[in-house]
Amino acid sequence: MCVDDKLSNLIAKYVTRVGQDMVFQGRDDIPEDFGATVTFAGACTSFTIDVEDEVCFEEDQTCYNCRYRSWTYDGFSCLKGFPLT
Amino acid sequence: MNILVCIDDTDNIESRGTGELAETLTEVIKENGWGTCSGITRHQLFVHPDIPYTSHNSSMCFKADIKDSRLDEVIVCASEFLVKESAQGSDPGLCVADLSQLQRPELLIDFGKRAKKEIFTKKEAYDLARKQGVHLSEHGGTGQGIIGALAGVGLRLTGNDGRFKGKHRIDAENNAATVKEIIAQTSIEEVRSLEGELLAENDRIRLGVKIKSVLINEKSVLLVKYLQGSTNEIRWETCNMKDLRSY
Repeated sequence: MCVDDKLSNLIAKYVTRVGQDMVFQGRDDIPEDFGATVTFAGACTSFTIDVEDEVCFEEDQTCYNCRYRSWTYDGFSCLKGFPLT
Repeated sequence: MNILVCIDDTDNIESRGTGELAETLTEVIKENGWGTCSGITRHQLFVHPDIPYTSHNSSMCFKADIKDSRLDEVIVCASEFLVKESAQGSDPGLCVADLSQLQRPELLIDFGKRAKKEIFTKKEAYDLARKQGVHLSEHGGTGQGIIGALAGVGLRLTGNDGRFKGKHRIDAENNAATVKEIIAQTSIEEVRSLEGELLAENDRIRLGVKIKSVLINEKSVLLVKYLQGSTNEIRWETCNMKDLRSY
């Protein structure tokens, strides 16, 4: 995976492997955390907008709106494993 | 007769969503002349590692007013529809409840509310459905979707759970409309603040990017919030999806 330093740092800060899942550790109500999901979505090779009823933030391109994010109890995991470039 | 139809766990990460299937099912019922259908609602269920779901664990429910003699046909049709249209790897479930035959709807409501925070087994769902005379059937995979389908009926019965599928389109100048205009152009029945205040017909609302309604007191309700710093006649704006996530 080829990622720039900023992206590498964000991944290291926010993404953790839990079992077989790659889980985002931030919160959507914290601007810095939310910003990371916007950066990830912009750099993602698999980002696909979810069906209208599941889009959470209609004005942003963020992992939270992606059809490959799977909600967990306190956040989400990426069903594609955060394929960022 | 009035029935509730709810489906769950029909999709995988690449397929059409359960909401789209529910919408197609309403069209099939209408095209066959069996009756009319109204508002599809999405009901959020428990998100827990021990519950298998694709990405969000929600079920889709709609109300239908059908001819009494057509109930069996609707059930058979919906069952065959799920077998044919559900995605590979999904575990679809179907629940159909005749509202006039429910002896103790509060038990279904209790099941629905608890399914938002507890894990149930298929046996528990089947037992409750049988005792209440509610149709419950599985149509592929593990059939785990019956739990969400039954819970969705219970939550719809509360009259106070879920968002309506789809977004409303309103013709408005400068992205603002009165309550009266909004109600005239859409299926929205009331406009209320997040705190519950009922807005008057001539109140003007700033319209957001996406206009969604939620089920409150059995009505399709547009929720709005106070427009901070407003200096003109527009004192309210529609809630965004973040505001509506708890519905």
